[in-house]
Amino acid sequence: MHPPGRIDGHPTHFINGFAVRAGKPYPFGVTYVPGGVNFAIFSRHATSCTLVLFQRGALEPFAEIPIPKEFIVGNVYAITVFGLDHEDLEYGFRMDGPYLPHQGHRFDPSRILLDPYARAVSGRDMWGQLPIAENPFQHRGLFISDDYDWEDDRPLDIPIQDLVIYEMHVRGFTRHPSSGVKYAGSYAAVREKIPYLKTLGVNCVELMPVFEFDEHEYDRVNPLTGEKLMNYWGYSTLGFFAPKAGYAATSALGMQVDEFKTMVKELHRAGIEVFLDVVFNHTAEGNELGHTISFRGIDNKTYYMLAPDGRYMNFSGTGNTMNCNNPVVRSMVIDCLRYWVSEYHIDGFRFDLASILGRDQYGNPLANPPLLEQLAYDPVLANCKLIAEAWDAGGLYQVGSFPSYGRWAEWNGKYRDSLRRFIKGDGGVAWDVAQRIQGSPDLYHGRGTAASINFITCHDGFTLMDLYSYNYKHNEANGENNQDGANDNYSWNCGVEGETNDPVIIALRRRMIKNAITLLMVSQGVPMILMGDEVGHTKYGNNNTYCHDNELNWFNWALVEKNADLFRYFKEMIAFRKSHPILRQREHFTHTDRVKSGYPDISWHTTNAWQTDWSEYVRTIAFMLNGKHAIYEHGVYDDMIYVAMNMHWDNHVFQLPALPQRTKWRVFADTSRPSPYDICSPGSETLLKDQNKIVVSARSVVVLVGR
Amino acid sequence: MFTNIEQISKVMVINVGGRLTSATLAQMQDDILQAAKTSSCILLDMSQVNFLSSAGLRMLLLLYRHIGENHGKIALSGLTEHVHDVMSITGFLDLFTVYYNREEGIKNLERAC
Repeated sequence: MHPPGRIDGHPTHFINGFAVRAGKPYPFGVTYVPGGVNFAIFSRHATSCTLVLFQRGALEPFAEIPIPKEFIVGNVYAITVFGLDHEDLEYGFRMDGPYLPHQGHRFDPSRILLDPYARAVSGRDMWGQLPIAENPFQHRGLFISDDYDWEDDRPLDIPIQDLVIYEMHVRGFTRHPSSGVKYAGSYAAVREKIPYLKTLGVNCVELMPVFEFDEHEYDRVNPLTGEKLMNYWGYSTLGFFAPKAGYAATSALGMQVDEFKTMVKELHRAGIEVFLDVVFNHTAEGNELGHTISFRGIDNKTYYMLAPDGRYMNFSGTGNTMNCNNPVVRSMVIDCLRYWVSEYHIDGFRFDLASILGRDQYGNPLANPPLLEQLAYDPVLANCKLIAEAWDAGGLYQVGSFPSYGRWAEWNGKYRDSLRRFIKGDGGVAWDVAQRIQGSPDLYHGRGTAASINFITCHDGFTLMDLYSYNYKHNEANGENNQDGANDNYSWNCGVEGETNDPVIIALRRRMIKNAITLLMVSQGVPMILMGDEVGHTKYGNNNTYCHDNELNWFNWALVEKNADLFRYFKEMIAFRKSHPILRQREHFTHTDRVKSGYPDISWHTTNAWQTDWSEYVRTIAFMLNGKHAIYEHGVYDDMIYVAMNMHWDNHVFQLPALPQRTKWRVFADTSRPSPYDICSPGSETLLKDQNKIVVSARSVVVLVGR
Repeated sequence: MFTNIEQISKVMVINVGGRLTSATLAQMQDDILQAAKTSSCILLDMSQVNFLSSAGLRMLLLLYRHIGENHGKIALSGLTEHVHDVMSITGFLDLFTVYYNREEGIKNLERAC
């Protein structure tokens, strides 16, 4: 039990009563060494750095240890301090240097700064707890135990085309009183709802930002209710290496790290991958009017994209832009991702406003961005999924052209727009929709279908229920005069704006929702659904609920019962996708018969079988997939699948393509029929009496299986 | 932080109490390792433990495993609701054999030892 002694495990200096020695410059942040704690922090332009130590919760520090010049290695201040009690400690740094904003320097030694590499951050231990106004240094680094018994857990490595992604907000998932969990709104509570996720059938959760952020960032109120508006979504990072304490049930004890890891371990045990939504495009510090919390005071010129006059460039729309292709910042991003993959067993990342990661330090788009290239080839990240929101707020739109290096997938905004327009009955989109359903070969030629993350809804924009309940956004509660949020929603209220008792409209809205989830699940590419859509969650027409910590955003568990028909439909549709490999092909279809079966891999039809018509007015199209082109599963071919889409306002008869001998068409789903006749369990489809044609009702989708 | 020891037929019951943190764990570790030398059947009763920190939890697991591998059978009993929840939420609970209270613990260990 006693390792051989090290010859560098003792102090060499005493500074302000503390036993110290020159530290190791890497890794950055805090590391435990025999007998002591190593601190390392980068700053290229600082002239001095002081380590500041607090007891947990104390307003004033109990120690300030200036780091001697002889301890600096390159641009890294490194010091090892002996005799500290990890459990009762918080830390930060003071950095001195020039205050010359027009040259990019904003040093302020009166401020104590958060370590960018802090593994846990204090100050917001309990969500929503009002900060102590007199405390000038609110976000402090903490010491954590990183040892954890993962037993045999590892990232699941599910092929990306087999994923059904569920975009989830950790707090929102269980915070509503109807959840019935003990520690509502926490990582621990997510575990209690794993059976629900398994029943639904999703095999991947994409967590909205879980890196430490400040929910008190805004000081506006909801003009309708007077409630204080919070930063609820969290797209505003303070600590890239720290799980948000306010999402943990055990943060008062500093155990959020263990709690988060246990959540991942349990999700993995249930066969569910975990993706993190990461926000490297900007930080919570805002522009020159924002607070100095960390990066600005440590090395403003390195961390931020600055204009020649020193002002902050704003490609994120939030005030600042991280200088991601600067080599030091790039290293931090890589370190961060490697840390979450290796320490937290994360399976993948979705990069918010990822186009910013492809800009140079002056904001110019790069053809071969070093950061993106490095991420694609990094050894530790080799198996994790990389998803880009392939645009930014500065005019770059790169869906289809994001520098992918054969690794990156993209949030396919064109899928969302095409499908929304088609489903609500627009003309002139049939050809486009056909491309989207096939995995967008026009955008991702050569990259395969897995490049396309297909979605119709996400946290940005209407929920699926609201997509068919509102023509217009209603964001007055956000306090921005309804000026915020997207205007091009391609939504349709089905006749009445908002809440209604009209049973015809209610039934139509449900049918539209089912149309959407059906088409999403039968499309090539990787589907993503929004938490709550499966139970018809409404945000009453607000399409930008970033600031609401209330029922607008919280998953209402009473809806699972109330809208059981929708839940069941989603569940069976997901099961259908998972049971048919022809829906999850890695390569785009060729429209040819590659296996001498008599049928091409995919064929398109109108109401007449084997004919196509892509004219302006066409709203009735169908496609047939030939299961013989599906990769073998247990040595058995997949079935034929036929999907008829009637987005017209009249009923239409679709002629069915003839099947090979001994196979018959069977009905899996018909969105026009009332529950429970709208869908069945995969494998229990009913035989279609008339094998030659089928009536598809107005604004409906029918899914047949040929077996 | 205190420990006291009782022998109840085959089972050595070590009653632990107070706060288990980095400040107190060295003493607790010594006490328990000392006691473990003379028994191969140990019940660590935690009903008087009202606080368990991150370091305390880890020390508990290390001790538990060390004794289990070298000295015989060991189990915990009497976790308060708070301690139970913390251990469960942080994923440590499943790594121990835990009985609801002393009586359950003694009964089961007698059978097992």
